[in-house]
Amino acid sequence: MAGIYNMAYAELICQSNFTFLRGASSPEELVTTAAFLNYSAIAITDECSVAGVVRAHSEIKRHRLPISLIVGSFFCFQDDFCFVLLCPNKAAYAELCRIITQARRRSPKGEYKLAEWDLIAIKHCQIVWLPGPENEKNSHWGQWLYRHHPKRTWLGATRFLNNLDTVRFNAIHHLHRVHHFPVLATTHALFHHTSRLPLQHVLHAMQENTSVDQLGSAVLANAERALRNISKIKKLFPQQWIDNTQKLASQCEFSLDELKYQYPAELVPPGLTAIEHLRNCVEKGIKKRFPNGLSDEIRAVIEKEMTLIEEQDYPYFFLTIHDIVQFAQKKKILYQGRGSAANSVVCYCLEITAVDPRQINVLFERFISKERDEPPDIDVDFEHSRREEIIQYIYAKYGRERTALAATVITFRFKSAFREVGKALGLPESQLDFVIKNINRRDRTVPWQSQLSACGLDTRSTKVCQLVALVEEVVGFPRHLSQHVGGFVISAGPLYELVPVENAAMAERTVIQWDKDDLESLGLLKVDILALGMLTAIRRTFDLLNTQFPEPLSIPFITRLGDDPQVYDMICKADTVGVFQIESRAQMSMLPRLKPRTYYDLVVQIAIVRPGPIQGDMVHPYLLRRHGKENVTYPSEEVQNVLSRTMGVPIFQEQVIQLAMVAAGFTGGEADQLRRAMASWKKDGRIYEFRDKLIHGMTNKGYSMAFAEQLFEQIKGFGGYGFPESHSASFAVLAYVSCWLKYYFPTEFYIALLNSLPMGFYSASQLVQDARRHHIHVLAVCINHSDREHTLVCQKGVKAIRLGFKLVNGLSEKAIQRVLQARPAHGFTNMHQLKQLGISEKDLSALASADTLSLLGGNRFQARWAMMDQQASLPLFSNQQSALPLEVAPNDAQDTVEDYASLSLSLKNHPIALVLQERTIKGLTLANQLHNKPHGSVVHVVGCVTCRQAPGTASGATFFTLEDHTGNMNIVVWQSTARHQQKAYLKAQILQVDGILERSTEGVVHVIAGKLTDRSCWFSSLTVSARNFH
Amino acid sequence: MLWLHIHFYQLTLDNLPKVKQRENIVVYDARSNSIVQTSGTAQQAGIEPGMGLAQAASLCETLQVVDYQKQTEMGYLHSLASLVYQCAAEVALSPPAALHIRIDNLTRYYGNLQSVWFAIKSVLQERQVHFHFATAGSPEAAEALANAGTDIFFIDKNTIQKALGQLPVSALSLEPKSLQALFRAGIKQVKQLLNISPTELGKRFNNATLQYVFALRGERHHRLVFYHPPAEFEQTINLPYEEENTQRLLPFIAKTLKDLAVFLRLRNTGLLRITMTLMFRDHVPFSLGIGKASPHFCEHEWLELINLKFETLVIPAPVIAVAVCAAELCETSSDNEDLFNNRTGVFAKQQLIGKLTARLGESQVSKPMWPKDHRLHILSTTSKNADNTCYNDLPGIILPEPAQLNESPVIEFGPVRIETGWWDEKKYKRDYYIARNHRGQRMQIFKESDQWFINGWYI
Repeated sequence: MAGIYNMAYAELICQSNFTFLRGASSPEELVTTAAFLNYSAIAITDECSVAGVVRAHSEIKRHRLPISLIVGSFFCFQDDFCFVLLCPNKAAYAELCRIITQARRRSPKGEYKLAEWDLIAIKHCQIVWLPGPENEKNSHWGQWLYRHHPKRTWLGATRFLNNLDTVRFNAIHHLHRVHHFPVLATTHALFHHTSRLPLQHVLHAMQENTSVDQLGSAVLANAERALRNISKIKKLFPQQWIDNTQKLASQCEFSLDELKYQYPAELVPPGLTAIEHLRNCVEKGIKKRFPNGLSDEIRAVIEKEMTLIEEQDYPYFFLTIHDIVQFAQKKKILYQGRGSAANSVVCYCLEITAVDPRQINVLFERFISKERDEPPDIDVDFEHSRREEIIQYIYAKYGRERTALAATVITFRFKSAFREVGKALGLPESQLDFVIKNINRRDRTVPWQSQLSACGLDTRSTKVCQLVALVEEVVGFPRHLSQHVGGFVISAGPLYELVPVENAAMAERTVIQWDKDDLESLGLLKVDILALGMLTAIRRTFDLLNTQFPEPLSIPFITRLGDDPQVYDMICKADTVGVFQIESRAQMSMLPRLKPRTYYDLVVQIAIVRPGPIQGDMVHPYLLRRHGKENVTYPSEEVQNVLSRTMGVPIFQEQVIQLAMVAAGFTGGEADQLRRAMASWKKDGRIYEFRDKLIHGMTNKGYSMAFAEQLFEQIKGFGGYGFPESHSASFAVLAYVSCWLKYYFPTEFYIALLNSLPMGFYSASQLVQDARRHHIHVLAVCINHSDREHTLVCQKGVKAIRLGFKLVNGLSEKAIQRVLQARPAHGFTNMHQLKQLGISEKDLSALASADTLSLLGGNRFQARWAMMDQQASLPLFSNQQSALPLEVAPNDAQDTVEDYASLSLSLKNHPIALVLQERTIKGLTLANQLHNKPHGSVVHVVGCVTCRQAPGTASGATFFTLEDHTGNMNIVVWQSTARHQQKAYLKAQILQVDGILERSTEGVVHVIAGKLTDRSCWFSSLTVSARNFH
Repeated sequence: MLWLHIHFYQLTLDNLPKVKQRENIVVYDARSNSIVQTSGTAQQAGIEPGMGLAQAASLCETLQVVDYQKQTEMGYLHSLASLVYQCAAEVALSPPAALHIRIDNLTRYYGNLQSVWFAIKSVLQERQVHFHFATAGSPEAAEALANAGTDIFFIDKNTIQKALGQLPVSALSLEPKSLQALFRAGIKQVKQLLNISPTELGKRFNNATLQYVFALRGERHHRLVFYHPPAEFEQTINLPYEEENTQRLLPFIAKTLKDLAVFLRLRNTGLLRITMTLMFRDHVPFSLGIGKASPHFCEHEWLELINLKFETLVIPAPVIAVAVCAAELCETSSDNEDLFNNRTGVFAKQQLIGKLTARLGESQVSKPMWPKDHRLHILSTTSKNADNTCYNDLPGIILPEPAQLNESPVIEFGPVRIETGWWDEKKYKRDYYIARNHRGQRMQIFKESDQWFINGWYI
């Protein structure tokens, strides 16, 4: 035993790549290597941060590594006092978190500033001091430490094998002699292996914003900051110093597993337990949600769910979300919960979700799995325009000390890695930009490394080889911490005792140092407060309707009405512009194929048009089976149980995980690891660790090898892109509600959509055109009739949309308010009145250009000319009208161009209609005529390009949407066609396509492009907004 | 008055070697992220000025990009101005790439206006630059016509007014804000603008716009600052791409020498010495002086000399720019004078070093400098920008080549491990020690293949 003890070494100072741009190895690499080198313990001590410790902790647990993790952090105070704080126990950990929080909160994002008091107040942490080369400063800090922390200070002795080793050693000996601080050996590692030295140099250069060769002697002189093997350590340090590492390590017993989340207690009234209170809330909800009483079946489900919630100790989590949605209800903010636990009957009763359990036969276990022991996931979407009210409510209720956002670790992506590494290697920035812009990352046939030579880089040169290798290494490295879109962590006590909190870039926001995976690893819960534009649109539609009808409309009201065949008829025709989720071009072309007729069909529809199912080749088999063209077979009954609701084809992420459990014998814990590996397989490829287990498990259980391999491929396909059923179920509710509103109250729905922009897939112009195709009158913006927003008006008993001032480009909010405030009851009668309002010339011009002044006389050019007259607004000239009205009038084309420039849409003319007035195109087919053309016929179409999409799943095809005055056309451009006609492919605003019409059996029409001709010159000054390659 | 405006719309491209101009090449302005000049072949591929780089790159796989540099174009414009200055006295620069030339007062020298134009055109054609031009009663009107690509040498006033009236207002050099205001009030032709009374314009536009319109009408004349040739010749050629073959620098230098020849001819002077500075991206620039015993102005002779010098010249990295400076001008008539009479005192240190270098060769002359690098053998290289910090733990003398140590050293300190240089292919890993030999001398040593080597001595 003595021999083993002699060998024991603990590395107590390691900075991972969470010390951004300094550490060159991940926490996982550091702990794995340390375990391999037989270290007894390793401390991850990132600079003023514990962002990397959870990853190290998880890695040790995942691989059952025989090594202890010590939590700590490295600090520099006043540039000359560098030390590390290590946590022997939970109190020390809370202390460390508090120190980091204080230091971070004093500084802008990404920096920290310690105060002397922070250090004096240390009561629990152990201090490892790293003396510098200057004796005077060492003497000062030695005395300081001796005065404040004589019993908890250690001297960290380093040997970097550079010319300062002797100086440092002498200093250590001297300080040891004077103060009797024990000395311990340390590598002060920055990377796990010597091969990372170049990467460390490159990161250092990035930090200094220079190139490696310019750094000169500032770079590390050698690779001695890598973890060393113990025999080398024994050569470099006295045995006593090595033994001391073990001595200190053995005092550090704190483990992250000890952290336990304490929920805010104030949610539960005195005298009640959390579960009792939750039960009361649920009972209250039952009365509201089920006014006619509960069926025995649903009661049984509720009881089962409550038992599970109690067993898993989740009542506080449900109560927290319940409290938030109660606030939203009070404030009439529309919301919808989704996620693994959201679609439970309990959540329905707590009014967290509107997914009616009677409508969908959802088994709760599928959402909270006791066996898998994964935390419940509830995301709540709120109206995008009012989410801030919810956030402020949370801050106000729990206080800023107890609330913060989860972090998102921003990592190097290809472009940033290539640019930054290239700069560090001294390549000119313009060349790097050129290469980045020219590399087609969507081209799967040619990897980026092979495309470099085409961009003018000599791939045989050493520098380019280094560039490639270093970029590959740096991709995925953390760059900085950012804030999660809406993941709140709320705790009972001060949050900074659980995890450090730092400032976010956004004012008044604070983030913790862990991201959602870290929180999940430690079993800490976060509440996702997200924003959704469609909820705003739905609420606005309700507002418009509820002024007209006595019975207030709501999401539950619509879902309670059950599946409406007429609404589904509309959906099957893909008449879904503007609705939620099923409005994109890909979704729209799938609708006539899948033909959804029920709510659950919509759940499938939303999940199936995703890269996961598409890449896993699940769409086609599902469609065949749905239409009875292929038999539904199952290799076993257990598989049938999992896949029967989707006809034997795995479509949802949950199904894939369940398959791994039932078919390959994965335990709950393993399945959870698989789920997490799926989410990140592109980043770390960890999923391959499960391949053999999955395939062996399945073949052992009698499944064919082919089935097993197919499942693994499907799992990979789902990686990162799969869609959980639990989310799809909630989205389907909103999709259905928006379709229902579009079908029954289209005018109100379009108004609400237009007022909620920017959101969704379509521009105002496209929505207005779609509305007009549905025979809805749209009235122009008018100085005397418009409001700020688009409004519902009644003209001769017919509902119409009056466009609002908010559509006018360049018109300020202040001017809108002034106009509305000063507008006489019968409207303005002349331009002079407007000029007297004191609004800016720019605003007046914007009003004139948008042709809102036509009622006051003259065309938009004349109005603008009059508005430009600066003298007329002066008191002396107040009664003079503009003396010389300009004799110019816009023609139709000019009017259209002006409309697009000032409103981004035109109600008068469509550019293509105007083009066709001027010229005839032989054999032209308009959008509304395409349906009459036979499959396979040659067609010629012309339209404004409103969308170019090249999805990664489309094997190089680009989908164009062309718009003419009669509708939209879907064009498919194959890669070779695009390659040979690059100019028209990339540049055209107005495009002529000569191609072959293709019609599927379900009636979906596409034009397969043959020849592309750029016709933008026919309407040269037009600017049509398009979504290009989103 | 009659003004000629010449707009050189692809100056950077025109100054590339002819071979390059035939390739798919564009000039890119990073500040506006747009292509500003395109070669003929690039235009055929669909690339137009105003496009972004990504779009241009996707239209042409073999696209070559040259950075637009305003300073460089100004240099070219100056050299063109000095050329035109041979034909006309009142030449004004119109940055970044145009010239205003007053021509009505030149008829007394040339006989008629056509001859003036012929003279100017010949000079420019010889220089092989592309341009648009036009004439008008004011520099502003001529500029508008030239910008619209009129390319007509107008003489008649009425024709000029008519042509001007037909121009779109977008051809005018108005502020974008004024242009936009006119455009959106339906005023799209210059004729419409000129028909508006000054009072009405004055109510709506600022003074600068008003003055410009007056100038267009020929009612107000701009005060131009005319070009004056500089007293010294100094021109920097920013190469469009990095060049490592010195021979390929010659076409660029030849163009500059032509300008130099013009410069000398106009002053009736000769030249004794050219200082050429080669500039690199990451290395310090170095200058080489090329001198002659007697003054010369002929560009061919200078080019020949430079060519000879280049044949033996080894450059440390690709060249990004070349500066040509002719400071030692002298009268060509003073053939008999001893040029070096009484001049020794004025030689600066740099000149002395330059001469030593010329005489002894570059490898023989060096300055000891402390480098900013861990690699000790780099100590002996000459580096103008190296810092002068003295490292006490480094030896005072580094041997040109490490010498074998044939005795057992007494190691006093070490090892200092140096493992670096992976980025410039001088990668090495070595452990250095400080040791003392039997005579008590301190030395820096390292071990390789079981043999100790002395790297340097401490003094």
